[in-house]
Amino acid sequence: MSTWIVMEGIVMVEFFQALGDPDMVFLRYALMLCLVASVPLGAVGTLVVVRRISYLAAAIAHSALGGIGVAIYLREVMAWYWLTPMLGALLSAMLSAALVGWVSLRAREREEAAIGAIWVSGMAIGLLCLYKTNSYVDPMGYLFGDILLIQATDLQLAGVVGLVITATLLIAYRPIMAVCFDAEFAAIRGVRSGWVYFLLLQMTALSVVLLVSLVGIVLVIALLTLPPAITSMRARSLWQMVLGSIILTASFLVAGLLLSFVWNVPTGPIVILLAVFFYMTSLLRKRFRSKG
Amino acid sequence: MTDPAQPVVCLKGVHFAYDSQTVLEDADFDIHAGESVCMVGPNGGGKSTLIKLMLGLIKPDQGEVLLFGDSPLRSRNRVGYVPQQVAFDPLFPISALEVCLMGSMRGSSLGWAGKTERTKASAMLESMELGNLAEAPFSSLSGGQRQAVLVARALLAQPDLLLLDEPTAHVDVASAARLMDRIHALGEDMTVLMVSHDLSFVARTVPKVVCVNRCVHVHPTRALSSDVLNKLYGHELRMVQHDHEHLDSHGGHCHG
Repeated sequence: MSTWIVMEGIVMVEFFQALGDPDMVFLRYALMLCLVASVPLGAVGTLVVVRRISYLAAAIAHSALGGIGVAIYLREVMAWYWLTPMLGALLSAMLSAALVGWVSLRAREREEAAIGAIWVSGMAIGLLCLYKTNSYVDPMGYLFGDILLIQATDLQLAGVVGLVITATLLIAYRPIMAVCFDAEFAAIRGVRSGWVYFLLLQMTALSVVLLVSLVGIVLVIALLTLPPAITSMRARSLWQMVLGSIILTASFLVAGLLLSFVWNVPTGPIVILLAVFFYMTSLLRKRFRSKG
Repeated sequence: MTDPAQPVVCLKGVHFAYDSQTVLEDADFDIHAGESVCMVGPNGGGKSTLIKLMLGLIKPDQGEVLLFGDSPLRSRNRVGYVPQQVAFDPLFPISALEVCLMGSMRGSSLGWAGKTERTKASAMLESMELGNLAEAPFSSLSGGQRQAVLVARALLAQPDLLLLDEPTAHVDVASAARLMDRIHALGEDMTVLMVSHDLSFVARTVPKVVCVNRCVHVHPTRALSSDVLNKLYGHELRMVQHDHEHLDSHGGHCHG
């Protein structure tokens, strides 16, 4: 047991040494992305949870694969090198967010079916494009995350998106909270509820794309919803919930990155398992407290 | 400035249908300043649609809805609204005070509520006897207390017209009576239009009733008879006269 602890300790020291290693720049990028992306993810995740639109957020996240596939295909076939997979993911997630918003606000057909169609058609387009691309691209990296995919441009994008989302929340906190709590009343008071809802979905699109390379399209939704779900058990205001979610998201990401390095396993699943473990523990604690 | 002779609510030949299903047909009625009116009728008869039309949430297919002589959207700052209940996530971390503060929002409201607004909201909750619960989570309040917070939210902007959609549907008889007493005490000059299914409550509370079942008819409350109710609900109903003083002292009865 003690030998195991010593070994783990040595690997952890190696992790911190690797952060300074010029050949391991992807690790530095990953750590910085964890810290930078936590802010928009924790904040937007809180709104997604209280507005109960996790299903819509999942549809937006999954449809990002369509943009990734199209971007990779166009880079190869049309030599559109400016269209990076991340930019493709961003554009398709924003388009899906607009469609999902329109369907949930306006369409009279069955909402779940229409949103499900957006969800799977994005994935199908992405997989087809990847199949048609001559050079082999493994979709697993995008679906479940691969820290080797993180580029310096992702960090810049995360920084810009983080700033935009934080500024939007600070400026429009009151209408956003009103729409999340009671959209009809907000509309009666003159708030453009539909637009605020669209804004929320667009912020969701931006946030999920940030972490596609780190935890993947499939797993990012858990990271968007579990930290707010944990903090909602104790938070007394929306701001407490936002701050708590940011701290928890950053903690799960950094701890997951460290553990994945120590155990030499993929980062995404470790991050998600950590979040799930803390969520289940919080639920049990809450249950025992209420019984006690 | 509003012309005192001008009706607060004026519906002229309003027709509304959801898809091809007609909900309201040729609805005409006026409500004047200071009146308290109840709207009764069967489920699906068009009561909530009328409220939505007055709030500007939907537009009539034909006819005109005017509030204070203007469109509902332009008059929205003079209108307060109390819904039946708010469907919200019980884990939404929001205090009674923050819910109340939504009442003073405008379309251009950004950032956070100012100190003056918070003081006014606290005073409004105080007047609804909820001062000690201002910081309590909204989800921890009882049904009656939540409804009182929603009334406080609607009254915060000091509306000239208060629309209430079954405000007492989810509260007990005593809480409902207290709630109505407070509404009348806080807005003596206010025009009140309320949807209710409780005919005993209607009989005790207002002098005028709007009967809605696709068509709209306005009656003085005392003119509500078994015949009128049978026509309205399409079902045989029996009116029972009660001694109101006796009723008040014992908390209310069911009528049919």
